[in-house]
Amino acid sequence: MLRVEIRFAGSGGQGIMLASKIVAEAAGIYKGYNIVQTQIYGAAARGELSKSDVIIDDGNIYTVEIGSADILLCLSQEAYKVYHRALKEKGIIILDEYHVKEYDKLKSRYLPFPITRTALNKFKTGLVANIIGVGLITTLGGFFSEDCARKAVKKRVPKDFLNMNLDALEAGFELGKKKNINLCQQEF
Amino acid sequence: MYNENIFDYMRTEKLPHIWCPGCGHGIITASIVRAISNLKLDKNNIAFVSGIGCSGRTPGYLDFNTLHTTHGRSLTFSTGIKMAKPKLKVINVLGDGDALAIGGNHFIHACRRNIDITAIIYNNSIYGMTGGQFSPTTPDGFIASTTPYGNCDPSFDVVKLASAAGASFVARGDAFHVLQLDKILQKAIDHKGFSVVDVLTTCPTQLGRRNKMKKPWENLDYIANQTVSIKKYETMSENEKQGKFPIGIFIEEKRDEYVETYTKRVINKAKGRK
Amino acid sequence: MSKLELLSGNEAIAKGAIVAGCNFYSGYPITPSSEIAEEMARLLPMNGGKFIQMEDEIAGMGAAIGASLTGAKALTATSGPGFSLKQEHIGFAIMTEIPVVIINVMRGGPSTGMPTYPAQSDVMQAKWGTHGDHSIIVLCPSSVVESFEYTIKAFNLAEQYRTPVIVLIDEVIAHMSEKVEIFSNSHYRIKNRIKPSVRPEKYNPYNVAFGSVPPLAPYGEGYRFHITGLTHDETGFPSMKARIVQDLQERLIEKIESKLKYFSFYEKYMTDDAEIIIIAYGSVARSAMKAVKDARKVGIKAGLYNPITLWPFNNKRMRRFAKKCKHFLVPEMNMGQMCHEVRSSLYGKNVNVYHLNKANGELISPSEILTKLKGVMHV
Repeated sequence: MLRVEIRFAGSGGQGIMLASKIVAEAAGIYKGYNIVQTQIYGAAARGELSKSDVIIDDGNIYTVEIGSADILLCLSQEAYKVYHRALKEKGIIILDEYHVKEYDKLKSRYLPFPITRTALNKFKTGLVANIIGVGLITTLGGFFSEDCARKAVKKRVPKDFLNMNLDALEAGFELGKKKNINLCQQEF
Repeated sequence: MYNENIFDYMRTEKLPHIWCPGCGHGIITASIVRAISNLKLDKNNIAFVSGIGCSGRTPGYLDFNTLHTTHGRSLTFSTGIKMAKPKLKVINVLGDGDALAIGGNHFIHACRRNIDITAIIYNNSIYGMTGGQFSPTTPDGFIASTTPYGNCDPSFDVVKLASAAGASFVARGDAFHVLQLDKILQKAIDHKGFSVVDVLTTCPTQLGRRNKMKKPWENLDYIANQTVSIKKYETMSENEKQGKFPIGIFIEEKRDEYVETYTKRVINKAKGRK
Repeated sequence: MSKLELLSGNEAIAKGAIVAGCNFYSGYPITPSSEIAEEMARLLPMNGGKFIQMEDEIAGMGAAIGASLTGAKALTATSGPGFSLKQEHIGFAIMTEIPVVIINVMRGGPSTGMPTYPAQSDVMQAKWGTHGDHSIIVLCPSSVVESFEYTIKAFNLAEQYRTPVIVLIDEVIAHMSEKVEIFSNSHYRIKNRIKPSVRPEKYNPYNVAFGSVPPLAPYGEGYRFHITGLTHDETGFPSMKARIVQDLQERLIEKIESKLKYFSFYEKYMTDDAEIIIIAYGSVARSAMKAVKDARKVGIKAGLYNPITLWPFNNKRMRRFAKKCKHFLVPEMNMGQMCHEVRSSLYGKNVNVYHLNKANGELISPSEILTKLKGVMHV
């Protein structure tokens, strides 16, 4: 039995919703699990905070809300403040250390990565941080293959920006592989 | 003016009509039918739509695809009909309260789109069917059942309203100058785009009775005296213009029609993208 | 051949409408239903249809009815406040028996309420929103897949019964994404309105000689007839004769209620041996399903009944449940609209009907339902 609850959090404009839809697409359409993807919508989403959840399950999904996450992708300090406590016992937080400076450094499951830094260095824009995040979730989670993620990016990202986003995804894979974590097999 | 063919376009078995003796609505309706007859339009391809009120009863007497809708909102139905089946010639009759009060929003937006519908306003300056309440075109000082001390509401000028809102054909006629009305309506119905004809008419029962024009001809005389040709109106002084309504065609322009534009600009583009 | 797609509820509704043969959309933007309009604006012109954004909600409904009269399959979508505005023309479509589908993505009310939060606030408005007596078909999906499927069914029912059909959907279903398997069009059973078989001069738009749903001729095909929102006889012309009006009133109800067995869609789970049956619809039915599974683990014999066809409400089925089951729980995201109906359907039966209401924009969770179950079943 597999059940994973992934939360994407950051600030408006970071592409939180796109990242969550790509993960939902990869796990749901290309890997074949059942998925539910939700987001804060409308007026709430126009503020600073942006949040989106994806539930992956090999059985039926009845609930549409998640309480605590298995994986929290955190792209802003504010998002960290609001959501870091809603984490499962064996869950992990993927932090963008460029934006999240203050976090509990003693927690071994709080994993900082140079997400935006990598985006700026390699692609001269922070806009692909979300896709690097997708790459990290792919590798660290292990719930779907790198190829599923590639297909999902191809499906969801506009053609003009596709190559850059595919490269960002690969950069995410590389960052992830530096840590030997695979949540799917619970090997850490 | 007499046109023996008009009964071909009418449901004569539905006559006599419900309008009061002396009402001008029959004059306008006959004029519309003569215009349609002169244009030799196919009855099967005419959708004839109305709202609520005395004018709303018009379609029942006419042998077309007829639709008696809700108060003020007939133009929305017409818009749907024209969009979905552009081959239909859509003629929409409205009352003054119908078009300008409860349906004011629909009216200005139909003008703005310039969708190919002919809107004919039976403008008798009163809510006749509901018992003579004042309407957006009731003249200043007139007595109505809801203006027992005289009307103090400013009124709408349909021609100015329709012109400003973007109708590509705007005219005014009246139930007295019938020969001219025939010609105006014929041009309006033949026009491609949104055409508006403001037709001043009488309501001896509700308006006339309360305003010293109880006899039908008194009410019709009032209309006749109120109206002057556009040409003459332009030569009049501001003082002389008071209380007068110029009649004739004010706007007659070739402009992009809404459904054609949608087809050209949206459908063709979308099909290219498929 | 089928294709898996990741769709939101609103996107699935638009896709379902296209599959059902919808070729006209008219509406007015309103959160949280706007994505339906956006999808239709994109999809219709490439699929032989037309989209128009009207000046207000009432106009959106009017244009849809006008288009349907020409033979088009018309859709409009809205949310609470817009749904209130549309009621005038929903009544017109009921009275004149013109098929049209209305999607109402429910949000919190009254008035502007909570535009971006889920609620099930329009259950009663869907049934009784317009003035006058009538029956109406209202469907309420619980998932994105169901949003797709029941939109198709809504069009079929509208065509079959010459009536407006309303789809009520929770905001959370409208905006969440799930997988939908979409087959080629030939996979789906699409129904079209019955056209007259008589010659134009013999045609009456409300002729019920061959059943309670009269054939409807489209405008512009040689059948010239009259339609009015006034009470009317079989010719379509106004009539105020008591017998004719009474017959019309009764037929407008009978033509739908007597056929309920053909479209009383529902989901049942473990109701056969249940000591308490949860009656839940929309997103709450999902939470209730989980709650039933959890309740069974702790020894509560719970079951679930999800009346997907909300209206007409199936009283007979409720009374069958009541033969064996004595406890009912109605959790819903309003202050008890469906609970009211459940109680009246079980009038005179020796049963307990409990309610669980939340109208604050939050979803009802499985654990809240489980807690309530434990409370009322004294576990």
